[in-house]
Parts: sequence; C-alpha cells; structure tokens
Amino acid sequence: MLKSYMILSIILFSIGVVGLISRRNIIVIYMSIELLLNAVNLSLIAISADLGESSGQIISLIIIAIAASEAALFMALFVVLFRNRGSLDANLFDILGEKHD
Amino acid sequence: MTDAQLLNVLLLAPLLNALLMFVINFSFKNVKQFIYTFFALLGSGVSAIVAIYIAFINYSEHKLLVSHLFTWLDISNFSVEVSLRADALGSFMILFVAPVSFLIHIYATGYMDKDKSYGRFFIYFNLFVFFMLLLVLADNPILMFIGWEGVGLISYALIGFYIEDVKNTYAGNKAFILNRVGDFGFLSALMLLFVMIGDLGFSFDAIFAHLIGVDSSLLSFIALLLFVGAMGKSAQIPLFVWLPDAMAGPTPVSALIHAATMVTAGVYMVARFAPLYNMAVDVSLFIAYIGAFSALFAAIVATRQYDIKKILAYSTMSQLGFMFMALGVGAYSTALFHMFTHAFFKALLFMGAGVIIVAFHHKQDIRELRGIRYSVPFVFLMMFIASLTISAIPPFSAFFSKDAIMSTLFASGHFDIFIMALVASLLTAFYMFRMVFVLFFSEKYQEVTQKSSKTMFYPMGILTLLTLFSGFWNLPEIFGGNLNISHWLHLADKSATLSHETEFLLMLGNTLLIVGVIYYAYKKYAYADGIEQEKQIDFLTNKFYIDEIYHVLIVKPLGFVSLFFDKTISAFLIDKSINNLAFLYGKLGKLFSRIENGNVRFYALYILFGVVFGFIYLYLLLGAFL
Amino acid sequence: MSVLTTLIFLPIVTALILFLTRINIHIVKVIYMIVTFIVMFLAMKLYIHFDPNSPMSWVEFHPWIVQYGIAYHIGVDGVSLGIVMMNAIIMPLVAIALYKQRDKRGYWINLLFVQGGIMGAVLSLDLMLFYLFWEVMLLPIFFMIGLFGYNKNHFFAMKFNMYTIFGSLMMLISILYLAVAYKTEFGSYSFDLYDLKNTHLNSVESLFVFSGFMVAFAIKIPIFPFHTWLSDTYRSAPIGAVIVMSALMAKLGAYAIWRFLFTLLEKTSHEVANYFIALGLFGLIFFGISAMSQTHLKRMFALSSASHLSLIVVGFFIYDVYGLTGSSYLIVAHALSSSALFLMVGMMYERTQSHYLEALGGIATVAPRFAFFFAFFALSIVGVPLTAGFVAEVLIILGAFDYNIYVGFITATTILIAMLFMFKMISSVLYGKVTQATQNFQDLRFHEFIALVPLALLVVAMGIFPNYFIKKIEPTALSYTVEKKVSIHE
Repeated sequence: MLKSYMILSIILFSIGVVGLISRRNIIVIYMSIELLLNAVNLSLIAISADLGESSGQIISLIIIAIAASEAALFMALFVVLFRNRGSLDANLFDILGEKHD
Repeated sequence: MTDAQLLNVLLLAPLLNALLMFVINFSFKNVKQFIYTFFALLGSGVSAIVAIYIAFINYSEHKLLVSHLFTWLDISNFSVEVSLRADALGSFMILFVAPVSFLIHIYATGYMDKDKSYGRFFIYFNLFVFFMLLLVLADNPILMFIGWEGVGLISYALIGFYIEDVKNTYAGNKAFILNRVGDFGFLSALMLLFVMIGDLGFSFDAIFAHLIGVDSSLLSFIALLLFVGAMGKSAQIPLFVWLPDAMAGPTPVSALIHAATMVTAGVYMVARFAPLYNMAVDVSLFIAYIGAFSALFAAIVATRQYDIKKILAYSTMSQLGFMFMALGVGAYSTALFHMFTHAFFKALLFMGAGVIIVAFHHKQDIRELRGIRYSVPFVFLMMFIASLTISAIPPFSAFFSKDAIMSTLFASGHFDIFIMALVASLLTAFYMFRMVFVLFFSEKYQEVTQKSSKTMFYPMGILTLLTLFSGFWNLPEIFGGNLNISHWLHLADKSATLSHETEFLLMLGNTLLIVGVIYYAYKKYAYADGIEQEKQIDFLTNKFYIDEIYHVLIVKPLGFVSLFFDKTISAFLIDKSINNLAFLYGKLGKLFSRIENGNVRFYALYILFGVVFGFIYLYLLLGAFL
Repeated sequence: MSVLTTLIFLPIVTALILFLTRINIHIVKVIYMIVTFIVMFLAMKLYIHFDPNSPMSWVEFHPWIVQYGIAYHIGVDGVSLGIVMMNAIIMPLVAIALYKQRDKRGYWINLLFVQGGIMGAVLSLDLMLFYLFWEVMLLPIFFMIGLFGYNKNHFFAMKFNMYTIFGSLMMLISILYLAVAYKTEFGSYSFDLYDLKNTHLNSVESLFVFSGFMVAFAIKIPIFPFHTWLSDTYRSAPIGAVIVMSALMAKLGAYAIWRFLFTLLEKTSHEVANYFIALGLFGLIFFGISAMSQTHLKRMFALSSASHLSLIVVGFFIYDVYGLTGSSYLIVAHALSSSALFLMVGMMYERTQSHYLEALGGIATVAPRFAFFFAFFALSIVGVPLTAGFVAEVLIILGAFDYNIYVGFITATTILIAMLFMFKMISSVLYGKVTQATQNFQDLRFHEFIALVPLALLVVAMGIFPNYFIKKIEPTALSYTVEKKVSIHE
C-alpha cells in the first residue's frame, strides 16, 4: 500500500521538477514548487500512517499552512514583478548572476 | 716631535684642513675668500715642509720612518694596519709630490680667484694631497689601494668641477670609470696575492719576503693584473682615453693631477712592486712594449692637436710611456728620475698654459692664440725653457733623465723598443716646438684681456729653477756625477751598463737629431703659416678614432644588453609568464562564473543533476533501493 | 620584561593602541618618535653590552603551545645584531626626515608594526615564531602600498602580496615537514631551531625542505629569477615602505639564509652552494646592467639594491669567515646608504614631483648641501674607499678569491657594475642645467639634515674604523666556519 503512495509521490515530484525547469512563466514555476511540496507532503503522510505515528502528519499540516501564507506572499511578489517589468518571464529576472557581454 | 709623529702631521695636515674648509663651506654662505686660501695653503704648506724634512733625513741618515696609527681590519688571517712608512722610495716620492702640490696650490689661488666655487675647489685639492700622500706612504697594498681609489675619486670631482656643463661631468665619469677598470685589476691582483701568501702578513715587506712561495705563472698573472691598474691610472694604452677628456677641469687640476702626481702613481706602483716584477720578466717586457706604444701613439696624435691643453695631455701620456719603458727593462730608478723631472717641467707647462688661457679670454686653440710673445713675455720664457727641457736639450733636467732612459733601452738590447722611444722623443720635440712657435713666434700681436695675478707667477718661477737644475742631482758618471738618486733609492735595478764612449755617441746623436727636428719645426711654424696649411688628418685629430671604437664596441652593446635584460628577460620572459599564471586563475574564474547566470531555473537544473548523481552514487555504493 | 621582548613588542603594542584609538595625527607622530627612540636607545645599549664571544645572548625561552613544542624562543648573535641595529636606527630617522610629508595616521602605525615584525623575525629562534613574524611584517607593507602608493599601486600591492605569500607558504610547508620528521624521529613535536637541527633527513627530503625555505627567502631578497615584483613595487610604494623593504626586509631574507638554512640544513647548503653562488653572481651582473637603462630613479635604485643583495648572497654561500663577515657588514652598510638614498629620493619627489631622470638636473647648483649628501650616499653604494661599502666589498671579494679564482674575478666586477649607472645618474640629476622642475629646489631643511647626518657619519665611521664593528660579527662567523670544517671531516 505504502509503495503505491510513494510511487504517486515520486510521479508528482518528477512532474514538479520538470515543470520547474522547463517552464518560463513564474506562476507556473510557483505551481511546480507547490507540486514538489505536496509530493513531499504526500510521502510524509503515507509514511506516518504506515508507521502508526502522527508526527509526520502534523508536520505536513504545518507545511500546508506555511504554503498557504507563502502563496499569499508570492501573489504579492508576482504583482510587483509584473508592474516593474511588464512580464513574468523567469529569464528576465537573472540579476543575481554575473553579466557577460 | 718624534719622527713618526712627523709622518702623521704630513698626512693629516691636508686632511684636517680639507675637513675644516668643508665644515665652513657647508655651514656658511658668502665666506671671505682669504679664509679658504689660508687653510688650503696651510694644509699643503705644512705637508710640503714636513715632506722635505723627512726626505732630507732619509737621504742623509738613511733612516726609515714608520708610524703605526691603528688597526684597520683584523679578521682571521686578513690583517691590515693603517701604518705609514717612509722608506727611500716613499721619501723620494713625497719629496716632489708635496712641494709641487704646494706650488700648484699657490698658483691655483690666483687662477681660481673670484670663482664662486673657490672653497669647494680647495677642499678637493687638499683632499687630493691627502690621498696622494696616503698612496705613497702606505705600508701595505690595501692602504695603498685606498689612496689609489681616493685620488681617482677626487680627480673625478675635479675634472667635472664646472658642474653647470654636464659634458664636463661626463669627462669626470669617464676618467673614474676607466680608472676603476684599472682598479679592478689592481684589487684582483692584491686578492690573489693574499690568497697565496697573505697568511704570512700583508705588508710590502712581508709580501716581498714570501714571493718565492708563489707559483711563477700565477706570479706573472698577478704582475699583469697589477699593471692593468697602472694602465688605468697612468693613462697607457688601452685605458688612456680619459686623459685628453680630463682637460675639461680647471688648469691647476691638470697641472696637479694629470701631470705631476696622480698619473705618476702607476709608475710608482710598478716601482714599489719591483721585486715582483723582477721575478716576472715576461710581464716586464710587456710593460715596456705598452709604454713604447703609448709613447709613440701619444706623440703622433699630439702632432695634430690644436687645443693647447690637449697637446700637453698627450705629451704627459707620452712621457709616462717613457717611464714605463724604463720600468719594463728593469731600470726602476731611471724611471723614477724621469718622473721627478717630469713633475716639474710638466707642471710648469700646464701653469703656463693656464696663464695664457686666463689672459686671452679662455681661448685654448693655438691657431687663435698666435703671436702672444710680447703680451706675456714671462710665460714665453718659462714655456720655452720647459719645452727645451721636455725635448731633452742639455743641460736641462730632462736631458739627464731621458738620456738615462734611452741608454738603458739601448743597453737592454731591445732595439725595437729603443727605435720607438727614439721616434717618440723626436716627435716630442716636434709637437712641443710646433706649439711654442705657433704661440709665440709670429708677427701678430694680441692684447692681454685679463691680467693674471702675481701669485700665479711665483710658483712658476720656482718650478723654472727646478726644471733647469734638478737634473744635476742625478748626474751620471759620464759627467762626473755619481747618480745620487739611484743610490739613494737603492731599488732592485737590473742595469746593463754601456761603455762611456757608446753612451756619449748615443747622447750626441740623440741631441743632434732633436736639434734638427726643432730647426725643422722653426722653419715650418715660426713666422710662417705652416699651421694654417697643415692638412687636417681626421684620423690623427680624432686619435685614431679610439673613442668611437670603444663607443661602438663597449658602450653601445652595454646599453643594448641592458635594455635586453630589462625589457626582454625581466619584463617579458619572466614577469609576463608569472603575471599570466596569475591571470589564468582569473580566466578560469570567469569561465566558471558563466554557469551562475542568475536564472533560477538553471539552478534548479543543477540541483536536479546533483540529486541524480547523488542517488546513482548511493545506489552503486550501498546497493540501496532494493 | 627583558630587552629583546621590549624591542619586539613595544612597537607592536603601541601600534595596536594607536590603531584602536582615534588620536590626532600630530600626537601619533610624537608617539611614533618616542617609541622608536626608546627602541633605538635600547638597541644601543644592547650593542654596547653585546658580548661577541658568547654564541647567543639574551636568550629567552617560554613554552607557548606545549603540545606542539612551539615556544617563545628569542636571542641575538653577531649576525642578527646588525639588522636589529639598522632597524632601530633607521626607523626614527625616517620619521625625522619625512615628518612633514605624511599626514596619515595609518602610515606611521604601519611603520611601527613593521618595526616590531622585523625585530621579531630577526630575533626568533623558533620556526613557528619566525613564520608568524615573517607574515606580520608583510601585511603593513601591503597596506602602505595600497593606501599611500603611487600609480597602479593596488595592482602592485596585490602582486607583491601574492608573491611573498606564495613564498611564505612554501616555507610553512618545509617547517611543518621538518617538525613532523622530528616527531617521527624523537617522539614529540618541536619547532625549536636547535632541536630541529638534529633531525636526520635523507638527501632528497632535505633538498625539498631547503627549496621550500629558499623560495621564501629568494623572493624576499630577491634572487634572480624571483625579482620581477621588485622594481614595480618599489616604484609605486611610498618612501617609508621602500626604505623598509630595501634596507630591512630584503636584508632579512639574506640573514634568514644564514640563520635557518646554514643551521638546519648545513650539508645541503654546502652541496648547493655552487649553484647559488652562480645565481648570485649572475644576479649581480644582471641587475646592475638592467639598472643602466632605467629612467625612473626608484626603479634604478631598486635594481641597484638587488644587485648588491645578490652580492650578499654570494658572500654567504662562499661560507668562509671573510664571506660571512663581509656579507653581514654589507647588510649594514647597504642598509645605511640605500635608506638614505631612498629618503633623498622622497625629498626630491616632494620638491619636484618627479622621479624621472630627464626631468631632473642641476640640483647641485641650486641646492649644494642636498647634492653633497646625495652624491655621498650614491658613492658609498658604489663602494668608494673610506665608506663602509668598500670594506664589505673587499672582504667579500677576498672570500671569493679564496673560494675560487674565477668566482673571485666575477665577484670583483662588483666594483665596476654599480658605477655604470650611478655616475650617469649623478651627472644627470645633480649636474648640468637647471630644469623647470628643479629651478625652485629647496636645499636641505634642518630636520632632513638631522636625519641624514647620523647615517653619513655611520657610513664613514664604518669605513675608517671597521675593526671595531667587525669584531662584533667575526666570532659568530668564525663559529660557523669551524662547524663547516668539522662537518667536512666527518
């Protein structure tokens, strides 16, 4: 039973990673990150249930709560970014790196 | 006062006065000129009087004066004492060095009158006397070397005395550098000597006592190196090129340094090392040849010079060549005798030239100075006598000394040297009288533009007397004399004697030839325009282009090598490769920084790679996931 | 507290205090003067009471890091005495001569640091302690070049730093290797010079350890081909730093060869002596000839220093009593003359804003006193008689002839080499026509005069009465050469 939960979790995680890397829209990237998070949540809950111990489920509840507040923060950031640059293309936001010309 | 203290006074009087003058010159501006005059004459005067006294007691009582001052250095075997020693040779040297210096000091007070660097001039002059006396009185070769270098240094300062013109200082540089090339030889020779026999003591006596222990080929080598030092100081081929340029200094400098004292140091040194040269016969012969070539070369070049001081400079070089010829055949006291007479007449000639230069508005070209006999009659008289003397006309002093050289050369059996000496001596008469006739025998008349002070004439008068009569002191047996100087000096002469008839014939022939040459010069130059019609032989006026050859062979390549070392080897080869090594790290850093482009998705990709590789590694390592 | 410890830590502690407090620049200068004068006074006392015949005087030994056998072990002997004296004498004179020129606190604080660092490095007899001080004296120079230097100073400060740290790291590796070798042989760590001396290394090992040390020293001195940092660093460094580098730190490198390599790796030092004599002679000629075509005064003197330092290296590796004594003497003589010359170059720059030969000229006409001192110190570098350099050169040449005739001849060229550029330099700087830059050249001021006179007097005194000074060095040199004879017989 655990195995199939874990496989589902891995599939979700992989989809998240692929989305994170391949998509340029920041909102989609954010959604991918959420997917990663939830994949981990799923595995936490599954393992917790399997072991008959509740701490994993508690952690995942906390994670969901934090993710919700994160979402609010992200939405605010998206609005600011869009206002500044007029676009949500992730390739535009590379000011961390060194400029090569 | 004990005799040893006398020696100290002799040496230290000029030094102390120089220091005093230096302190005054350094501390105050606008010092009255007579203060310097006083100290300068005090320093050299005291040493002159003491020198004559010391020489007198040494001559009459054969008393050796020694004064030990302090230990200069004492390391393991190398022990050098600062101690002075007036043996016969030393006393003989100071006998003319100190008084002639004093006379030239007096002369210089007139010549340098109202010069703005009057004080500086006499500081150098007194220091020079100090170093020269140190050279002569040194009891060991190291101390002698200090004096030797010291006179070179002061001559550097004096040649470039007129510092406003940088050319003068270049002449000084040239003199000092060439002197130092000689010093390189001298010092190397001393060090070799020390390595061989130094642990037995390093005073002259100790060295000569142990010379037997040195391998003979090495001894010749040492003798040769020593002579390199003499070449530099006494302006012999090939290190002579500084002497003509050295005439850039004031004329008293030329009289003091480049006639009477410093340039004779080489001769003195060879005579001092006579025991060594007697053992190295081949080197002695080499010296004779170098002397002959130098004498001949300088005499030839002098016949086509127009600068009055340059003529005298070449004549000095030529006369020094004569001395070296005598040294080379082992007639040390003869060489020293010629040096003795030479000091007087050459100083006199330079002084005369100085008076003329001052009187006629610093003109030095003999063609522009024609016809000055009646404007400077005394100078004419003195220079005429000096020219007769240098041409070896009897009974003036140089007749005896030069004749002694000629007859020893003849007796030694080296006829090639003898012929060269003869030709050089005829040329001497020719160029000297060319100068005299051009200067004084002409219908033209030139007015004196600036009167010389009396103080310049008194020393010239004394020197004229000395020029006339000093030769009689060493009268050869053929004239009923008994060679006083030679007996006094008692050097290790290798004398081959001639029969009196041969000697007399030689003398007669010689004198007749010289008189003939003078007559020829009279015909050509006196009251005639021989000098204007003279064909310009650039080859001779430019002294065989030796300067230019040296320039191309040594100076230019050195500059080139310097640039090559600095720009190519240091900057390009080494520094660039090291810098590039450092820059390589920078380049690598740039390369890797391309990966960090700031795009978040790439970072995620890197994380993915990292995780994947991590899992693969764990899988392989632990066999996990199974 | 003993004399040596005071010598080391008085400047360092003062510098730290000055660094941490914000005191007015004038007071900083006064404190600098007071401290350096105390150091000078103490060093004089040290010199007078120094007993040349005891192998090591004023030894202090306090265990420090006991587990690793690191101790605070210092002492002075005939060789180190010279550098200690120079360090103590030159530093206050620098301040006297330059005190109007530099109004930056950092300048003087850094100089104090350097003084302490050099004292420590000279006196330490423990390798770790030595390494520590070796690095301590490097950093102030780095800051001085970076903060107060001239054109492209940041680049050259960095280059100098990289170069020297590279050398130091090589030395650190050698030190650690030696210590570990000592532990495997004797069972406990020690960094003490006289303990490590007993370590037995095979020939390959000792060659590696030797080269590690030598790289550090060769860069500091510098020996060909580690010299390329030199001329540019000297050009862009401020005068105070240049004096420290040329008069003290470079000499320290040469000194360290004797103190550490000749003590620790005696056999290897003898085996490779020939190569280093050859390298030194090559450097002597190479640097001298390179200096000929320089037009920048500081670069020229940098190369001239390098030429003389090569001569010092030759004298050390000749390794007889003449060579060792002569080189130790030349260390002192050259420190005096070169620091004075660099000081005067600094004064010249202050007055004319130029370091270039073409721009200068005719100084002797407008400023005779300045010209006198300048010519005097330049000539003392050339080694004319009655100056200290002459004595030292004669001794080294003597040692070289004793070693080998050919080596002797090449060494004797030293009396020619320095002249090639020095006289041309004197002519074009001091003589000739006055140029635009020099027409308002002010003659020596009183405080500058006061700073130069002691140096000049010392140079002359050491040239005329060398025996008095040499007697302090000779027994140490002799003790080393005796050891050499013994080791050859074994």
